[in-house]
Amino acid sequence: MRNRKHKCKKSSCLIYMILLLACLLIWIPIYMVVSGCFMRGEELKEYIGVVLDQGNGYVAWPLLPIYPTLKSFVELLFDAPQFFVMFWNSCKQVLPAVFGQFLVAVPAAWSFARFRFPFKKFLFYIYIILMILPFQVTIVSSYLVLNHLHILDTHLAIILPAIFSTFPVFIMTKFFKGIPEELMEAARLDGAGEAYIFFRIGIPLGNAGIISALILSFIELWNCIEQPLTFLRDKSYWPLSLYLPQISVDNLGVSFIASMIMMLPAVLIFLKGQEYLEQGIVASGIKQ
Amino acid sequence: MEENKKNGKMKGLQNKAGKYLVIFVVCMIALTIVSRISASLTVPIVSTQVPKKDVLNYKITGEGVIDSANAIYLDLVKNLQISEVYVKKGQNVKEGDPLFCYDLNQLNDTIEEAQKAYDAAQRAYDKAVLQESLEEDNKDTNAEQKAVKRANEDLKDAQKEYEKAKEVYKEKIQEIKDSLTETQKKEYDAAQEEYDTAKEAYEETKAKNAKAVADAKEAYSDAQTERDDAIAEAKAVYADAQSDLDEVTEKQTKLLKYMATFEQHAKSQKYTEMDKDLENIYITYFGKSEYEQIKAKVDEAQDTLNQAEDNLKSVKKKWELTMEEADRELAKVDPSSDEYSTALNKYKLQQIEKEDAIDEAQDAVNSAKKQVANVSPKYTEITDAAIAYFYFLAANPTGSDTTLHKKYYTAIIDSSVIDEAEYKRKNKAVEKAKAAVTTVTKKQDKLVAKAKAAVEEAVANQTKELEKAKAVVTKKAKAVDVLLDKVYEDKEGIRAARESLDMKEDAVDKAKRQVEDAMDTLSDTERANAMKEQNDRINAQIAALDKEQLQEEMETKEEVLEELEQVQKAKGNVVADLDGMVTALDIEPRGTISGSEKVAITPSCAVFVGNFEKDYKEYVEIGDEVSCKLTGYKDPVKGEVLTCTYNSEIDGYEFTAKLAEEEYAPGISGEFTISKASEKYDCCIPLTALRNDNAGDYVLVMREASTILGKEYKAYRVNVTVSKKDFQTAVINDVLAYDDEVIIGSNRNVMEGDRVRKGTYE
Repeated sequence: MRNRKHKCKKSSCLIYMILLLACLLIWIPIYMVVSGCFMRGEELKEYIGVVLDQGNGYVAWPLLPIYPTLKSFVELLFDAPQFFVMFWNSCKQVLPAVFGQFLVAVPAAWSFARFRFPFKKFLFYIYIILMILPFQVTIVSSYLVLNHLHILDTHLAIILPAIFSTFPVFIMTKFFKGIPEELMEAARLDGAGEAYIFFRIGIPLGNAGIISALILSFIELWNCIEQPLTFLRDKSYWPLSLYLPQISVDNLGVSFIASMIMMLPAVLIFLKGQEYLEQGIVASGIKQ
Repeated sequence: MEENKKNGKMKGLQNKAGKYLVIFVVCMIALTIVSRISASLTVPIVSTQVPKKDVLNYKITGEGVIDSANAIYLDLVKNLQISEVYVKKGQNVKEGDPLFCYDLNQLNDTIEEAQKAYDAAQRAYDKAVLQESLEEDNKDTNAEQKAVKRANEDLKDAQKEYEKAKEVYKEKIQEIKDSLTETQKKEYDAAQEEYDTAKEAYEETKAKNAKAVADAKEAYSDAQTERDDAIAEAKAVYADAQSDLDEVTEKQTKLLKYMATFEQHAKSQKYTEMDKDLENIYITYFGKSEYEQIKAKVDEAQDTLNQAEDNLKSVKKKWELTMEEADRELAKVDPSSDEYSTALNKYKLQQIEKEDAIDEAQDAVNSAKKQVANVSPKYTEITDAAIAYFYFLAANPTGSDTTLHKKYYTAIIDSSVIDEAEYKRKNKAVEKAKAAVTTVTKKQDKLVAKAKAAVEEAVANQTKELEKAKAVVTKKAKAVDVLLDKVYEDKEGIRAARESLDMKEDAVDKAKRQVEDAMDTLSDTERANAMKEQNDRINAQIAALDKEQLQEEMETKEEVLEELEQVQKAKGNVVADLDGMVTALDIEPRGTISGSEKVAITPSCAVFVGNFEKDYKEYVEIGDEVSCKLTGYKDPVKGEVLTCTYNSEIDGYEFTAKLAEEEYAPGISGEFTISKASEKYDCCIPLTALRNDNAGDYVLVMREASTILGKEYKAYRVNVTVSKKDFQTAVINDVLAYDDEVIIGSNRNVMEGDRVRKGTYE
């Protein structure tokens, strides 16, 4: 018995060690970003300049900055109005897109999950294929369509294609399929119409799936680079994801702070919707 | 329980995340506003201007003084005929009054000729410009380099063939050796050994002689270098001696120069230039400060003399009138009356008084004349001699008077000008140095010739000894062949191998000589190219100088043509430029201007004399307006430039200006300003827009740029070349568009790439 306990302790230690290592691998980059915010450009160049063709040697990173400073904060938050313009551009593009997805993807997912109609499976496979296709494959066709619609170089060039994204439909369909059919039948017996069932039963019960899909869409849209780079020529429409590539080697401190600020909304929204995400994962495991 | 705790924690975290999100958004809104405000404070406000057509305004300022007016001589156009003369000498004229008129028909012909001359000069200049742009290629050395390469390859091939032939010969020899008897072998070895010894001796002789020749060549080269150094040293000593001599004769040289120009100007009656030459003679002889003192004293003494002469005249006149009155009084008295003797005595007394007064006045004049002469006897001597000689030359430009010339010469070039003893000593030193150059040259040439002879002797020795050694080698080789011939049946085979070996050896030698020849040709070509390059450089310099000269000639002819065209424009009439009196008028109707005639007007008023730097000459012309602020006068006075001449003493230009309004007493000083506007230039910017760094001049242009903040203005650099500028405006080359907004000022420092905004600032 004692041996068994001893063996259990040893194995759990080992597991903890492995998990700790995995955590470190995940947390070290975040720590670098946070500590890098308090370093001047010259200090950053000294440590990671070799990566940017600024010298010979190896990359290094101290535990704490040698000359901590808030200069980069001031430079970004008070002297860079371009950063805020791009932040609000991101908000203008992502929030309507997410809302649009809610309006379009939820009914589409409900119909795929609950109804039978001709070519349903074929259509769903097309959705899957479209979801798998990388952006580079559809870039030319998307460009031509947007150009024809005269919405290139506007926020709509990002919002409209995002609204009709197939990924949320795919996620939500799975969740809607998990709702028991008996519940629908009972509601029908009680005289509920399809619209009533959708709004009063489907959406509340599929809440977790809807929110988790929207959160994932938000994170994807917040970080997207390719679409704005392709469809937006005018720099005044560029979102925040395009701010970092513009920062030069001389302004490394600003890039760290910009990364951190860009990360914050996604982290906060994720934390806010974590419960729903977990529920959704749990719910998807339940079998009827 | 634990589950509930966990759920509670999760809820708490979610709520916090929601709050933080809201706080984050609010902070971002606030920082957006703050960053905009901060950016607006840091973005510089600039004022701009587009490039425009404008003139440059030049302001030339300086100091000057009122002076009594000298006669102003009109420039007469040579070889033109006068058709009419409207004034007489001594006549008062007003500005604009016609003085005389040139013959228009002849004027037109002269203009045609001048135009042809100008066109020819322009063509010559254009030709020189085109000639300058011609480039000649140096002779390509590719062919020679290829020849050297080919010769080297041929040498390698020849050497390979030689080695092959040597191998064949060796094999043949070995075959024979193997078939030899002991005795024959011994004989053969002995003969071979002698042959080898002879060959070694040949190589030794070759090496020894090569060294001897090389040493002789080196000695020859050293001798040449030594010769060049010795001659250069001797020449340097000669140059120093010559320079010392020039120092001693400097004063005399200068005086002779001025004396020669004085003679020339006296012959052509250019009085102003003559006065200048005489002044230069005084300054050179006495020194500037001493001359000024002498001049001041002479002027003072001259004033005294003038006063004494005036006094004498007035005394004579007064006594004349008195004596006339006395004569009349005496004539009234009856000679037979008692009063006649009294009247006669009185008359005689008056006569005596008159004589005394005149004598006194005359004494004063003589004393004043003596004073003038005594100020500086040397000055007086030079002046008298120069004036006497001038009168002679003016009357007889082509004649000569050795007495007057000698007097003129000896008055100026006396013992004080040149220290004879020092001159003799330095001259002797120069001659000695010159002789030393000749001696050194001869001596060194001898040494060089000797070294050259040594080289030739060494080469001849080398050839002789080599031939001798080669003969021995050949003899020994023949002995070996003879031995071999005795034992070897196939004589032809060995002989053929031997002959082939010799041929190959000759071929190698020939190839070596060909390599040497090819290399000599290459180095000759390279040397010729270098010399040609040097010659081309010198030719280019000569061409540039010729071009400059042609340009000057062209400009001179252009000036002559312009002068004639101006006269033609005025229909041949020449008018007075100012009010005054005609004090010289040497022209007559139907007379031709030869260059010695003079027409002068002495202004009736004092003039303002000022000077300015020679860099501003192009902006000042006769007739330009001058504004003078005179001491003691409240308001500035306007005037007009009458003359503008170069003054070598100040290395600048001196001008005289006639002042308007009232007359001014000489001696009043003041400041002048001449403002001039240039021609209109197409692309002008204010000087405040012009910037400068290591890369040159540039301006910053405000242009729209598409940025993240939308359409903004940024400062872009445009490099410019400034062709001219005044105190406010610069003329630049045409690199800016007509609507480019050049930044001419800002409220803070603006660099290339900065965001800017237009506006007003304090």
